[in-house]
Amino acid sequence: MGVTHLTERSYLLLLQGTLPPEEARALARHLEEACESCEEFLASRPAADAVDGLADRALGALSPVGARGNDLEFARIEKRLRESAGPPRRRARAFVPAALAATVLAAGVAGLVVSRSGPERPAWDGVKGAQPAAPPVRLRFAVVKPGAQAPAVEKGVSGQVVEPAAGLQFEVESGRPAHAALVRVSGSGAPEVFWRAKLGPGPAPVTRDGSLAAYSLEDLRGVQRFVLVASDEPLGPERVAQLAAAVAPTGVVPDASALGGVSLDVIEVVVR
Amino acid sequence: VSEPKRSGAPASPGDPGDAALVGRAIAGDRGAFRALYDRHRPAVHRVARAFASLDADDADDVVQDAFVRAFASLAKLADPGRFGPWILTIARNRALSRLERRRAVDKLSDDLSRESEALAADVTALPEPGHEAELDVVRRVVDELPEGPEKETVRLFYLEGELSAREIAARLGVGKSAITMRLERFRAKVKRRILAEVARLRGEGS
Repeated sequence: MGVTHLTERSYLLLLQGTLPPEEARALARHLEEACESCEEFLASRPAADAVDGLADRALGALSPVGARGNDLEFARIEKRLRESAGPPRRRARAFVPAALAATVLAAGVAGLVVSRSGPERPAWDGVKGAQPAAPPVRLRFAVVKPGAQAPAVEKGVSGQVVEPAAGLQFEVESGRPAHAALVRVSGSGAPEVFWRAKLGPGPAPVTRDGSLAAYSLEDLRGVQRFVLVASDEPLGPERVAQLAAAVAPTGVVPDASALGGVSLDVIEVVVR
Repeated sequence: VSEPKRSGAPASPGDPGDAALVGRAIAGDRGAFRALYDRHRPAVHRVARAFASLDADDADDVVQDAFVRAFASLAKLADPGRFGPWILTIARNRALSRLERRRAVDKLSDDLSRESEALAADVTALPEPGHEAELDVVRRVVDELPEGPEKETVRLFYLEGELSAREIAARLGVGKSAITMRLERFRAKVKRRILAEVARLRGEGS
C-alpha cells in the first residue's frame, strides 16, 4: 500500500469508527512516523473535536497543577447556569394551562405538559411591558410513539433521545400575530423548511392540511434541531433557512438585537 | 518529564471519579459541580492560555464559558467518565470562537457551527488509548523535539506551566502568533501520535 496520508474522509471515518480495519491499521503505521502533511492537516482543522480533547488531556499531564478555581469564578458559573435554565417558575406555571389544553386537543391524550431545558436559553420576555421588536415565540413538542393500540404521546424535552420510529408533534406559541416557519437542520444537509403559517397570539398546534401531523423521524439519525422562525412581516424561504442554519448548530439563540426583528426558538432531539 | 498529575483522574483512590461526580451533578448535587470544576479548571485554563491572542481576562471568560456549556449539557455526555477530554474540547472551541468573532463578527454561522461540533464531539465514540499510552505519547514527542525555539516554548508552557502563551511571547521577544504557532505545531505532533493509537485500536477491533 502506498502513502497513507490523512484525508478528510479517512479522518472522519476513523473518528466515527467506520474506517475499514485494514485502512485503520495502515493509517496507524503511517501516523507512528513523523509526517508534515498529516500534522498540517491536523493543525488546520477548523474546529476542535474529540481527538483534541484527548490531546489536551495528555498534554495536561506534562504540566504541574495549574491555576485552581476560586469561589468567585464558580459563583459566576452558577449564576449563568441559573440564568440559562429558563423562565422564572411563576411565568412557566402560567404557561401550563394553555399548553395543556392545546395539546390535549391536539393529541387526544391528557397529562401532557411540555417543558424544555437547554444551554443558554434566553428568558421568555412575554408580552408585558414595552412591545418587543420581534414577536416573542416559543416552540414545544411532544414525542409520538407508535403503539399496539394507539400512539403513545409524551412530553418532549429538548436534548432527549428518541427512536427513529417516533414522530414529533410541535406546538408553537406567539405573543402576538406573526408569520412563522419551522425548519429542521441537522449536522449535514441543507435546512428543510417544512411548515409555514400565520400565527395568532397564543399557543397553536402545528398542522398539515388542517390536520394534526407528527413530523416523522424515519431515516434521520443523530442530532436534529428544529428552529421556529417568526417575524411581523413574511420572510422569504431563503432568509428563513439562513436564519435557521445560523442558530441551529448550537441551539443558542443570539441576542434579539442581532436578529433584526426576527424571533427564534430552538429544540433538539437525538435520533438513535 | 516529571511524573504528572493528570486532569480528570481521581487524586487518590478514595476520591470519586468523574463518572460518579457527573452522575451526582446531573442529580443536582452542587458539591459535585464544584468538585468537577476544581478538578478540571487547571487544564481548561491551560487550554485557554495557549492562545496568545487571548489576554488573561479572555482566558478567564473562556473558562467560564466552557464550564457553563458543559454543565448545561451534562446529560448529553454518553460516557460520564470522559468528562475531562469533553470539556477540554469545549474550551478549545470556545477559545477559537472568541478569536474568530474578533476577525469577522458577521460569520455567525461558521462560529456557531464550530461550537456545535464541540458539543457534538462524541468523545465516547473514540477508543480510549489509556493514560499510560497517552503519557508515553507526549513524553516521546517532547523527547524527539530538536533543541530550538519550539522546544523552548513547549518547555516554558507545558513543562514549567507558569507562563501563558502571551507571557512567553513577551519573555522571548517574539510575536504572539509565533508562540501560538509553535504550540500548535507541537500539539499537531501529539495529535498525530494519539490518532495513531486510535487507529491502532480501531484496527484491532476487527
